[in-house]
Amino acid sequence: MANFVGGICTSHNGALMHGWDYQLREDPIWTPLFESYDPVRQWIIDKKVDVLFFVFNDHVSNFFFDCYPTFAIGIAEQYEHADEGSGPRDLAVPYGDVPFSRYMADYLIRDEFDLTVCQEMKLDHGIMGPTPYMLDQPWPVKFVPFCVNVIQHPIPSVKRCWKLGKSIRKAIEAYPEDINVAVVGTGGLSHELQGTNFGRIELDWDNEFMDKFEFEPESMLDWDVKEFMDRGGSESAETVMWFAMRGAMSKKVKRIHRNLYRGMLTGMAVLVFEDAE
Amino acid sequence: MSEKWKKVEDIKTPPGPVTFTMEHSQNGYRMNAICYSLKQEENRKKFREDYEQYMAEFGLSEFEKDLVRSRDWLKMIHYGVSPYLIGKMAQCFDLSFMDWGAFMRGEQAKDFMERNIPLLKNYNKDDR
Repeated sequence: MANFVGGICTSHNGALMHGWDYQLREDPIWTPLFESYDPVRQWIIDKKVDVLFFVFNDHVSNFFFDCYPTFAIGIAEQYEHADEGSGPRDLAVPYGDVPFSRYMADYLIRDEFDLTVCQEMKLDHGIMGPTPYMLDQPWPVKFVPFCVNVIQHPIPSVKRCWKLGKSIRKAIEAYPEDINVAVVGTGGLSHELQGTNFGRIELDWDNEFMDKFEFEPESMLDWDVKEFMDRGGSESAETVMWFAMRGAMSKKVKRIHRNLYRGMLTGMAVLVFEDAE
Repeated sequence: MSEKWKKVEDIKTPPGPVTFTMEHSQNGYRMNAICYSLKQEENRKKFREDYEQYMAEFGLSEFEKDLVRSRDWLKMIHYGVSPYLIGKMAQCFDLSFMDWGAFMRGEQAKDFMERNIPLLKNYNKDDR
């Protein structure tokens, strides 16, 4: 049977693309950001992770508003890199795990998550922003992309994403193949890109949020998305995707890693949890 | 929604954040579509060479053309253009994400970045 090894949450943004594409690790401003992913890379190696299940969002790179799915899962053999304005990035090919992806789509739809199923998906920085920091290339894992609409409101609630995480967990543990799977939630934390407060960052809230997220996530399940936007800026609506990861975990978690870095436009966080019990 | 604006100047830009809703998305549909077309290099090349012709071929309304010509990114946001799509157009005007973002604040990207660069570091509770 498949083994759920734990969860990762990470911000995703344009800065991560920039830092990687220009190889800025040795730049002292960037060094702590790069280093904050080293423990994640090591954890993925130590846990012999075979598949990363990414709960992420597209930034109108693959999907357009002619048909914008609320939940969409990729079931492809491999995925292309999106062109976000400067051509597709020079990164290794992300390969999928077709039988596992198809199984997950099947399980989740039967479990009342009505998914859009995609045989092609171009991946943008929602996945490929942080990925080069936490994995060597060629990628040592297979990818399952699970895309959530968090940009055209209304978007799925915190509770919906939490329940999605619970369903993802059940599905993984019922999968008959012997593979190690980790769930990754991307996005957040504080940032605001639309309007006169462009660049708003709320570091105190980001740290407080990560405390609550670790110890009492259920206290936030009934929050409206707007609550997050008020506290952390309009684009921190993305934080709902973290709850898919947290919902997949046990009530009590063992923190393996946590870091918050202030980027130019984003409170950039990364954390790794394992089940405590 | 679009009916209420005859001219670009009519688009109000009250301070604070904008939440991109279905209404924004429908309102800004063709503006978003032209920006989305710029995810292809050949279209970026055409836009850069002659964006007037590109807009004409795309069939934008005069209002929408004026909105592009204004390069008023804050009005575009309030009109219903997604920030992720604005970025694709701004890039074809040789403007970075920081450039058009700082514009919404009413300042230059250079000033915004100079103020923020010293703040770029870890902010964990133990780091303070």
